[in-house]
Amino acid sequence: MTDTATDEAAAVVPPRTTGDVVRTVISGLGQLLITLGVIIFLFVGYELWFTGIYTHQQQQSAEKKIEQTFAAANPPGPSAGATATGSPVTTPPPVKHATDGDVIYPAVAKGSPETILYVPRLGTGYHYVVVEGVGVDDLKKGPGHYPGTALPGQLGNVVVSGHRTTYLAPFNRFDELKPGDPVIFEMADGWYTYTVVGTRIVEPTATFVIDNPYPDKRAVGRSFTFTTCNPKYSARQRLVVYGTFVSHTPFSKPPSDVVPVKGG
Amino acid sequence: MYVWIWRTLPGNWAAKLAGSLLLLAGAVALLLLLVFPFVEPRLPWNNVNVDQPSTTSSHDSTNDQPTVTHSGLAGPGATSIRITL
Repeated sequence: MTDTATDEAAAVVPPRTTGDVVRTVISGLGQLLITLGVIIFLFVGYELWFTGIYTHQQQQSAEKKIEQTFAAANPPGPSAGATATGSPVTTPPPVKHATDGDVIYPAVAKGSPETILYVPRLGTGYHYVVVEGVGVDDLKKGPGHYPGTALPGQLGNVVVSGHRTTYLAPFNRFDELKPGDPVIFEMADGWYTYTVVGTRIVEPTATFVIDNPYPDKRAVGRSFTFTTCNPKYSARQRLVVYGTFVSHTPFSKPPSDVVPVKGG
Repeated sequence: MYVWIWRTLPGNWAAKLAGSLLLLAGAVALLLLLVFPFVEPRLPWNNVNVDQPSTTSSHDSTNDQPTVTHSGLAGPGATSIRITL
């Protein structure tokens, strides 16, 4: 077999020996294994970066949508919410209130934006639109709010879960959060500032953190719980960051450590 | 396999090169847009919840409280809890 015979479809093919067949099979197997290796590398790249493209697009459209909602709830000019006093008020204005004084928000469809989360410890620009629902498709859009748990400002535990390493990895650095760090939620009726109380690592089955994240079982009051994978690139455990409500400021007065998505 | 593709592609070496790049791009697109999104949810490491999403939808009912008592102080070997749903 000469080189010219391989370049052009040879009219005369020499009879294949057993050795030829073995060589073909072995080189084919080698190429197959190399190809599989390349595909696995490609998959790693897909998981770590390509998935973020989708989430980035979804976050941008969700941001636009929720900004419109906020703007509609807070018309410019002498709004009902902004009272003359400049100090932070703890009575949330425009949204409806239940008889016990708790805030009532309009229901949001699954996958739709619910609130904007700011974590100044992870950078002044750190913000993600939290969507309703924690299904696979919801979490591809950004951090997801557990249906049925409280919303920011409401009495109860606000539970949000997010990806640690894929889909833009919103909760990637949540292990760096320290007690006392502010966690701020932007809602239609203003800014709800919470503070981190602690971090814990639990089993994936530890659903009790949804009801009460505190290890000492203190009363929940107004609290929050974030859940994400732990350790990074694994799902063996869950990292849980939890904390408690601090203050509420009206929409026109964002907390000083927050850079609002659209200049307030 | 790759030798066979190279031989099968028509034209001179430039056309063959263009053809192989086109095939490569097609294969990568097929993987990124169809195969990987299909495979991904079946792999375990993207699960960030402390529950199955199918059970969280009915979370507001009171009977999904974990009924098993637990130590509360969680470390790497934390207690695991079976939910009653």
